[in-house]
Amino acid sequence: MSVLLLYALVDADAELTPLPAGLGGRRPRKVACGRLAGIVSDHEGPPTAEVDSLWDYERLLEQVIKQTAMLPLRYGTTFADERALSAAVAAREGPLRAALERVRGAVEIAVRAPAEHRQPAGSDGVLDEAPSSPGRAYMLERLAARQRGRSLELELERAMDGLVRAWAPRGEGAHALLVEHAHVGEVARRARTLGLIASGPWPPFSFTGEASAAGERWASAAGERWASAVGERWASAAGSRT
Amino acid sequence: VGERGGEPYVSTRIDSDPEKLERGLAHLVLTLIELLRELMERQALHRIEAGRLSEEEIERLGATFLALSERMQELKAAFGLENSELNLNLGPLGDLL
Repeated sequence: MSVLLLYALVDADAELTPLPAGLGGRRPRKVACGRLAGIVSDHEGPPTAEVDSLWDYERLLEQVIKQTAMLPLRYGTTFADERALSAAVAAREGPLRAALERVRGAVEIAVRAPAEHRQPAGSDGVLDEAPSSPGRAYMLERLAARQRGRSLELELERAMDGLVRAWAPRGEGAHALLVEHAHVGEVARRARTLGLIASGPWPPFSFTGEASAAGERWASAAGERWASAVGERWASAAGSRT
Repeated sequence: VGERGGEPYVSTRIDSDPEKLERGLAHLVLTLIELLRELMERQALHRIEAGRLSEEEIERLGATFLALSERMQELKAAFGLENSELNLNLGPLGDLL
């Protein structure tokens, strides 16, 4: 059964130079969906769970965002044909276009505190508590983690003032920042000044709003399983970029 | 596939495969437990910061949360779920956790 794999949504009139091959070497193409357009490629079935495929997907998104504003879709979002894709997008065109406006001209930068900064006091990451009070030790560790998180947020807010369009917490000691292309270098520099690890630029997955909700509904079974793998893979790549 | 008769659907939502159904239910239940655990833990931390808990109460609460955390780890491992999977997308409202 053939399917269309949807990578991203862009403006219908976006002009794209030839894009690199997508999953499985398939050539991506643009499919008009009202005032939006989908970047898709044709496949015999839903994508399989392969790390190489995941990186093919990522590489294509990176090329698209270099050329135009883009709403990335979660891995594994497939449709039976162009008509089905157009109908699904048309049903949510307003919110999807609003989401596209929010990320226009911006990319995602991930910042996180190094592991040693996230660990509680003590040489091995364990609080110096008497073994007889494990409950108290646990609560104090949680309290310390919460205070470290607040401290990091305050530092980031001060350091990134005026440079960040939006924020999204990503677990303890980690944030996703929506940053305009022109500010990427400065944000990375300031993050390093704070002793943080910055990675990116990434497609703005953390700020896609309606596209994220729509992707949840549209995702195939493969996408469901691999959405978390995408996040983990990108998280593990933190530090290798920027 | 992500659509049927022009209407999008997610094939994993309703699946007659007993194994998948069990994992889906476990995902939902564990997500809700995690939400409650986080809410209760935040409330407890707030009370500790405000100095409204005695040492004995802190120990008792901490031991309870610790045991719950360990039990959650076991259940997640049993159902092959990762921390990052324990969440629900609430559409315009964002993620639950």
